Amino acid sequence: MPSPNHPDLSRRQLLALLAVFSPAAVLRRRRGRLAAQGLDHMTLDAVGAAVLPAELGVAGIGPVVRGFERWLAGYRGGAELIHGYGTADIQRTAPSPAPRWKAQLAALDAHARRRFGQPFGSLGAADRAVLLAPAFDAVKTLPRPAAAQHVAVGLLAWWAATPSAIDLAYGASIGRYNCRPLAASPERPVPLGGPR
Amino acid sequence: MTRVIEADVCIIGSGITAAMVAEKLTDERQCSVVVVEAGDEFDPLTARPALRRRFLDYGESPWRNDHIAGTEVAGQQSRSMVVGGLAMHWGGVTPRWSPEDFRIKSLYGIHEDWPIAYDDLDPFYQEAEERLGIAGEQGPPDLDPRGKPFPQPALPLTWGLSQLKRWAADAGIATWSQPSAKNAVPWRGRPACCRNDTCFPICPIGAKYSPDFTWNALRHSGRVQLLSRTVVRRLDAAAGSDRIERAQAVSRDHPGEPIEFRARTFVVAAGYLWSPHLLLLSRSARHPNGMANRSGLVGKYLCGHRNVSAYVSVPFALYPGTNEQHSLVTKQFMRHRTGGPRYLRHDLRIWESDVGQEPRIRGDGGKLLLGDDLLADWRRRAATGTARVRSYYDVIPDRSSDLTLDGARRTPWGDPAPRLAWRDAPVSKELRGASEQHLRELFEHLARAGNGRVLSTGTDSFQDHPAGGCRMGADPAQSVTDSWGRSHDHENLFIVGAPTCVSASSANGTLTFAALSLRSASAIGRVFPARAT
Repeated sequence: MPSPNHPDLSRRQLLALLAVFSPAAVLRRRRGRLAAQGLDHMTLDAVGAAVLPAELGVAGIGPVVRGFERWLAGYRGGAELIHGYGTADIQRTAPSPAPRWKAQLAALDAHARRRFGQPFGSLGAADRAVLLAPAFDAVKTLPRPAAAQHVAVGLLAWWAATPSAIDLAYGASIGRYNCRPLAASPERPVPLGGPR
Repeated sequence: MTRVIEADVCIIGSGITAAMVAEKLTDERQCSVVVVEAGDEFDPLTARPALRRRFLDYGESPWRNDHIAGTEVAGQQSRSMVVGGLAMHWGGVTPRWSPEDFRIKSLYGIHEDWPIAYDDLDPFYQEAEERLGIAGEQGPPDLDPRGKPFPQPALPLTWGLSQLKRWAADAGIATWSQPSAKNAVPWRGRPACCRNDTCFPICPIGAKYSPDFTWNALRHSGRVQLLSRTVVRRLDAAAGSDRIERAQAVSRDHPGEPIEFRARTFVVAAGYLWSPHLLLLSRSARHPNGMANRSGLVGKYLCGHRNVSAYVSVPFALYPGTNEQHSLVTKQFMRHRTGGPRYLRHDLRIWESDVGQEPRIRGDGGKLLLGDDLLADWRRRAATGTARVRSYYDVIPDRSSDLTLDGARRTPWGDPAPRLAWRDAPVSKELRGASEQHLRELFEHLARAGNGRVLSTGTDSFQDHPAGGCRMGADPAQSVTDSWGRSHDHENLFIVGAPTCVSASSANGTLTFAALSLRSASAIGRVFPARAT
């Protein structure tokens, strides 16, 4: 029998659909994705706290790290890249950095336990910085996230490319890559926190 | 067994110029039209937001299957072989060329005049602007003449572009909103632009014109038959005649079953690369150099324009990303002036940029910047802006700037592949260094006048908006087509758009290619009865 709200769906189909989108199901899928990637959630959170601006606060850093994880989960190696004008070359994305980054997180945690007797996620900021410093030794500029050799660099690069990070740097609601009314484009972007 | 498809008009290629010809013909004339395209179908508009998302997140091409493996060629090539052609992922930038472009021999003693003047093309520019839906601002009428107003109001300048307009004015340069095939208002069922910032390569809402909109409408109304994945390999003339009788093709899905297109009129609309290539492949005893090639000029005089660009610091804040791909433009330099190199004509465009303000991981002294340090450094550098400036300049092609058949490489269908070589005429070769230096000095002048400095400059050897290869002219010994795109050698064969250009100006070419195609369509249609309105 069709549901009154979804006339094309039977009750059974509707229940099945609701089950797919239930919070528990979403959580299960997310856990599944993370398990597939094998990234250590707690260590990655601690890396985020070490490399992202503290100004974001705990409430801001968590969503950034989750966004990075979603981005990584969606990464496809070997996908065709956009090709520019004037060249016949077709290039493809590199293999997923997830295995390398997973190993790095595990190594960070192991290093923390050896050196400080605690998991990386339990260290203070100064100790985290000491352990992360080598990851940045050879890094001169922020790479594209997927090209980052180390997961800490990848996370920082990913955040820095987000529209919200750009808004934060410019102190204004630019909303890059978002659909915005054309008629508003002559206006100076509104300062973050509202008009001053 | 050969499958035969008959129509009044057979159009080979389905890019923007083919779309213009098909739309105009079927609007105005009673004729059947079949369109043949080697490439695949495009993804529908509904798929584009998700494809754009993957482009933004991962750099993936949002145009799946927009080229065919094995069709890469030697030389500078822009890959696109798909229903809709290269304009499926163009930037939608649509300046008209200048009156001077069509008379450079008369005015400056350089290269060749076109067989038509700007005024001949003006009504077709207007028609193209209406069909594509161009949003534009009238420039100074002596530099930017037009018979009628733009069909749409200009795309508004962002706050930052308004600052840069004043900045350029301080250097004595008048600029205005770049005309664009992006809707400032809803147009023909497509919405107004909402600044998604990914015009190139993909507009997720269809505010930017692309040829799929024309093809969807024409196919939906049954006005054209379009066969994709079908490769035309040669044109044949009737026995003992110069009249084109058929196009021989092969289906990529059923390569063992040849297809033959028979038509009263054939239109080659396959761009600067595949149009001359097809003509050169169509050799016979009567036409040993290929079709339309008694002059020996098919494939010759490939043209385009190079560019010099710079990033210039400005002492005020900008907000790149507000409408990232929109720009200012001027035609002030498209008329050659004394005081510089012997001959130099160029455009100038100005964008907001974030170059020099990107987040960085090393401070000036090499210190590692993470977290709050990185953000503080980023904020400090974002407090003032950067302008990106770029000038295309007119490059005069040599006869040997050409497309030939490659003896070493074959297409997937076994034909010799095209080979491209871009070569300047002696005058452009001689003036190249001085021209590019002059442009760098112009950028320095802009910087000084605005209390900024040039951060970096670049020179691109790539010849953008490639054209030519079947140039038009009044003399059959010196050209491939007449001014309408009709082959001098074959009264029922037209070559339309980019290949017919005599030179390539110093501004984006697509609107001109579309206007030329519409002018060709007006001639193609004359043999068919008018359609009742």
